[in-house]
Formats: sequence, C-alpha cells, structure tokens
Amino acid sequence: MMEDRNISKMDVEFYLLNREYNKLNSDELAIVNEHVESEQEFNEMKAVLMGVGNFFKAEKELEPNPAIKAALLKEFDKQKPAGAYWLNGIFVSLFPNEKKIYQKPGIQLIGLAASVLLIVAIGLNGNADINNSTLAQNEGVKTEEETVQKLSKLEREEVDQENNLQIEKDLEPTADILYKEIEVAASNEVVIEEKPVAVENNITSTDFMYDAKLNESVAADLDYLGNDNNLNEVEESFKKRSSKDKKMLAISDDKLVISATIPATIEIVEEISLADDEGYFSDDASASSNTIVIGNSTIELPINSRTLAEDADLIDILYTAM
Amino acid sequence: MQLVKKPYTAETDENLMKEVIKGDSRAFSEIYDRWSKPMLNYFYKMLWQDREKAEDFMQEIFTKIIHKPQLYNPSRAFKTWIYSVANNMCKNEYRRAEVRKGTSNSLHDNIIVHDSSAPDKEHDKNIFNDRLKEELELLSENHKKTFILRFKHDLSIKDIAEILETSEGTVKSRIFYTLKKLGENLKEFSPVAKTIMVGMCLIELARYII
Repeated sequence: MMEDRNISKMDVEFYLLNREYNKLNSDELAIVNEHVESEQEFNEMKAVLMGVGNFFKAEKELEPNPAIKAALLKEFDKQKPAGAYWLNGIFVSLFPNEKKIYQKPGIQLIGLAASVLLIVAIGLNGNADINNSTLAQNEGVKTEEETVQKLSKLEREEVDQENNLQIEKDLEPTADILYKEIEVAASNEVVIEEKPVAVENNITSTDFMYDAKLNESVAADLDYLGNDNNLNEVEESFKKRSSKDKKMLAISDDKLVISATIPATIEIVEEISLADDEGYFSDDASASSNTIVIGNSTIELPINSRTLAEDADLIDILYTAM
Repeated sequence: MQLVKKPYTAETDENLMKEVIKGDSRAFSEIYDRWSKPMLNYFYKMLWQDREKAEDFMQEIFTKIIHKPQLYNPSRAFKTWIYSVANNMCKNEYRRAEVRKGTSNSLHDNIIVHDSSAPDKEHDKNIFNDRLKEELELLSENHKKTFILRFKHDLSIKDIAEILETSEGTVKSRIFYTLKKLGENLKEFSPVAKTIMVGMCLIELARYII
C-alpha cells in the first residue's frame, strides 16, 4: 500500500500505517505533531486509515455492462474510418474474447466449413453406383488380397526363373562344349565369331543340296539321292574340300559358325552326313552326327539326323506310294 | 514490411490513445477494457452511488474520447487526464444537482440513493463499513473526491493534485482533514477506545459485585 500510493516519509499517512505512536523517534514525532495533537488522535486516525484500506478492498466493484461497449464500438466505427489492418487483427476479429464460444465468428466459420465438407462427402457417396459389387468391400481386405496376388506372382516368377535355370542346366553340356571349343580356339589363335552364315570358302549346303528348281519331280530327286554312288561322291567331295582347305569345320548351329583356319590336329573321326531326314543336304553342320578330336580332347556333337542310306527304305515306300 | 502489430495489451495508455486518434478501434477497445471499470466505480462513488447515473457518465466519457480524442494531450498521463475529465463531469453534475435542489424538492439533500443491485449490501453487517460509508457521504465534494482518489483508486498526491487542478499541499491537507474527521466520528472503533470501553465495563462490573 505504501509503494502503491507513493507515500513519502514526510507524510503523516506513512507513520499512521507503519508506526506506533509511542515508538516514534524524535524526528518522526516532530513530523507527526505538526498535524496530530495527541496520541489518542493519532490512534483514531490510524484505526480509520487501516479500516478504510480494508473497506475499499472488501467493496465489490461494479462491472460495466457489455452492451455499453458494443454501443461504443459501433459509435467508434461510425465516427472513425478504418485504420490499418494487421494479421493478428484477423485472429482477434474471428475469436473475440468478450463473446461466448459459439458466438465467435471463427468457430462459426469452422462449423460451416465442416458442414459443407460433410455434405459434399455424403453427396459424392450418394452418386456412387449402388449396384457396384465392391461398394461394401473392405479396403483392408482388398489390400491383403492384392498382397497375396503379388506374392503368388512373385512365387510364380521365382518358379519360372528356377525352370529357366533348369533349362540352362540342361543346356550346359552344349555350353561346355562351346566353352571348350572357344578355349581350344583361343589357345590355337582361332578366331571365333558368331555369325549366322560366314563360311569363308563359301562352302554351303546349297553346294551339295539337290537343286529342286532343276529337278521338278520328286521321282527325279529320289533317283538322284537314292543312288549311293551319288551320295558317296558328294560326301567325298565335302571331305576333300574340308581337308584341303582346313579352314572350315562348319560347326554351325543356326547361330554359331566357326569360320577359321582349322588346326591340323582336328580330324573328323566319324563319317559326316550332311543329309537330313528328308534327304536334303542341310547347311547345318551341327545337325550331322560326328565326333571331333582336338588334340587329346574329344567333342561329341549332337546327332539329330539320319543319313539317306538309313532312310532308303522309307524313300522306297514313298516312291511306291507315288 | 510489418505484418503483425505489437499486442495492444503491452502498449501504454498514451500509445493506445495515439492509435485511437488514428481511428484504430482495437486500441479504443483496449482503452475501454482498462478504464471502464475504474470510471464506473468512480462515478458510482461520486454520484450518490447511483449505478444508472454512473453507467451513463461512464458511457459519456468514452463517447467524448470517440468524438473528441484530440482533447487528449499525449504528453500528459492518460490516467490523470481521464480522471480530471471525470472530475469535471462530476462537478457539472453537482452544479446541476444544486440547481434542482433550489428549484424543487431534490432527492439529493444529502440523501444517498442506493441502487438495489449495489454490492454495498454485502457489507451491511459490518458496522464499521456502514458507518464509514455514511461518513464519506457526509464529506464535502472536494474532500470526498480527494479521499476516494487516494484510497480507492490508489493515486498519488501528485496525480490527485493534477486531476483536481490544485496543489499537492492542498491534497495532503484535505486527506489529513478527512482522516481526522473520520477518526473523530468513528473513534469508538479505534483500539484505544475499545480498550477504554472494556475497562469501563469491568469497573462497573466490579462495583456491582462489591
């Protein structure tokens, strides 16, 4: 109280509030005695002063009517032009302290927005196809199903990969053979190229093949091929050329042709037949049954064709039927 | 570029009044929130504890701020300015009351008009408070104003002197005079008086026993 009212020590009020009369020193007593005649008067004034403080503290203060503020603000807005706008003024405008929570414009706007969103959401769902079978489908279950499908797909892919590996494994002998060939060729400076058709000395099956254009009748073909002498001549000719040129072994599949100088150590052990099942000479050298010896290594080539001599009986039957 | 303004609650009254003069309604709202209650209670005390009259006067003082804010000098403390305006309004009302008193059977012949909703009834049981209230109403207007500004609104001697447009010595003198008078009139409530009264009762009791 003393600090609030800026009470000076020169004021009697200070001594009334903080001192007893009989405890005042001479200086303080001199100040007090300028205004107070006796100790009794001092005590009376002291009692009043203490009581006044409590009286005003205990007194309930009146609260202004909120309607007055509203009227004054309205009056102010009429009288004064709008001043500068601030961002924090927006929040104050939306959520004024003096209004109840449901009366605040911000709360009302939020409620309105929520209602609109709800209506829009309901409206969108209302437009959905009622006959749609997935209407009541649980999204979570659907996701699990999709996951299961994905897993089964992955499993299938793994199985496919395993099958492919198995197939590759089945093909491994061929791969080994080719690998060995490449190794041998490399050690003997043999250049290996992957060319569908690249026979250096132009030895192709067409050289040995029966020319269908010249012989239009099947009978003529059979006559020609049925003759062992003719066949032997062809074979002999091929052998001759091969041994003579020493350049081409025609180890050729549809994709791989070794066109290089064949080392002298390579020799055809078995008879090479260039005739296919139908009696035509094939340009696929790999189709013929043979074994190739390269140094100490022996390469087994697949046998998937028969000689004309072997099929001579079938040719006879066909000829008879014609 | 400043987008967010400093909160009004942190601003001084003087700065808020500058904004009010510019037309800032939020500044006016803040000023109202700070000063409406003290003004209402001041008018209530000074105008015969008439709540309706106090509310009218309180509204009128803020209407003056709206229509004539330039009357406020920013170099002066707002607190003393608004109390001095309120004091002048009270003076005018006293004059009007005197005129009414002279021309008719006025209500204000030292008669306290009690508002039915006044909170003073809560203290009716407190004898001292009732007596003090009565004694305050019996004071002259100047003494009463000085006393209320000093002890109800906790204003300093200097501020009171500025509000009442008088000297500090006069204010001190008024306060002292009021205290002295109240002390005399309420001396039965002083501790010394109580002690004397208890002593006298004991003596009377002893005499009766003997």
